[in-house]
Amino acid sequence: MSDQAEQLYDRAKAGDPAAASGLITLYYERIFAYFRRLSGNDEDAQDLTQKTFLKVWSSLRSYQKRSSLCTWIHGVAHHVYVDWRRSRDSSQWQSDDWWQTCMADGPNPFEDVAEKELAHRLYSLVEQLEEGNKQTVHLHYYQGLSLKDTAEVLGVATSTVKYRLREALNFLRSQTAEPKFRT
Amino acid sequence: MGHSTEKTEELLRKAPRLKVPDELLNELKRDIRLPRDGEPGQAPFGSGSSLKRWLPAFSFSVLLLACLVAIAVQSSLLSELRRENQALLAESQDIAQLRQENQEYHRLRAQSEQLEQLRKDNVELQKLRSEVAQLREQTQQLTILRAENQRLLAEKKANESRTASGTEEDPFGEIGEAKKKAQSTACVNNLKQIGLGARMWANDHKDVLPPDFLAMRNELNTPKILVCPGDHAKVRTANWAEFGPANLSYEFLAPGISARESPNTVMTRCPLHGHVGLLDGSVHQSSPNFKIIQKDGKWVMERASYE
Repeated sequence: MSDQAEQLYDRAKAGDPAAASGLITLYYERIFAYFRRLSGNDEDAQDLTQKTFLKVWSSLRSYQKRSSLCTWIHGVAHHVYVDWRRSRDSSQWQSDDWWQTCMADGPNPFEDVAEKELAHRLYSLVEQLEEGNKQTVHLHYYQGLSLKDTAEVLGVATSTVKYRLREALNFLRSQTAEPKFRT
Repeated sequence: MGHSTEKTEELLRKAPRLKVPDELLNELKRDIRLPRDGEPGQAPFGSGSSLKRWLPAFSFSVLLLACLVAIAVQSSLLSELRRENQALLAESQDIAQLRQENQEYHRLRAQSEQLEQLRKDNVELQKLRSEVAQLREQTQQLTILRAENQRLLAEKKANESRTASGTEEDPFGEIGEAKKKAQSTACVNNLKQIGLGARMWANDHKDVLPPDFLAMRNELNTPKILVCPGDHAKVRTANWAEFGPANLSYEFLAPGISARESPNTVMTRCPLHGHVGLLDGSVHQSSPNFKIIQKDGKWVMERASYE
């Protein structure tokens, strides 16, 4: 997939719209999902996804291939999200229960109801994390980026990513350690 | 019902896929704006992102470097101060030696000044001693001169009285001469009585002579004997209550001394005739064969030397 993406990038850089469409097809779902989980509604997520790809096209030649194309596009998306958050009053924004409201049709990833309940509880708790830790969890676990790629996207050291993840996991474990979740 | 970290991570990774709006893909494809040839690439986000990323590490490096420089400077200063401290310690030992020498110098100087002062005092003392000896000599001469003066005054008065009353009766002066001798004899008699009374007083007072004539009034029969018959300036009185300086001719030269002193110690003297009463009770008439001098605060009679 990486080689395919690199080929599509080269062709898109050379001005091939079909290659650009191929790149969109490859990444738009992940980028939309990233924004959807963070923004709390479909409209903002769509808007942010469009802004992200517009930025990708305008800065296509600045990609130096130091990281994977996926990581680079996630970096663009992260900055778009940061700009969007900065332009909004924090009181106007709130996340929603994305794991219940906009599930795609597909197989249930959870083994049983208890696991599903625990997972939903964890997703809810992730939204309560401090912003830096929350971003780290989203990129590493939800978006599936490696520690190194997550650090690259966030512009921090890999050790910082590890630290944030450890903190986040400790928080999540402490909050879900009770027999009945704290609701 | 706790769960492990691995389980938490697994559930987070199992986050369900989200439904993407159908029209999004078409809109994205419609918005494709690929850069033309020759158009420079635009940085997707701030150009300072690299700097921003490395800023903490860079800041820490700068801080560490500054600390190292500061430590190096401090170490250098510390070693320099240690060297200075050692040098000062060495100098302070010299200072202690100098301080001791200075104290010794001051001590010697003080001794020298003291010695100089003693020398001056000694010279002054010698000078005073010579002056005292001179004054003593002058005092002796003065005493003799006074006695001579008294004698001359008495002679003058006697001559005057003789001139006033007795010239016609005694044109040859024989009577006046006899009278003078009688008065001198009476004076000697008076001094003997006084000497006897003083010794009696001393017997009753642990061999100490009386302080003055008045003290031994019980030992003297009458105050009349305290006036020399030749002393016309004084008035005889028979009453001790009226006794005063105007009723006294003789000098008491041994007030309050021990009666066991040298026998030639002068006790009384008649300034008019120059007769002296000694401590042993004897009375000596004025004569060029003896003189009275003051020795150790006491008047003593000594035989005059003929040189």
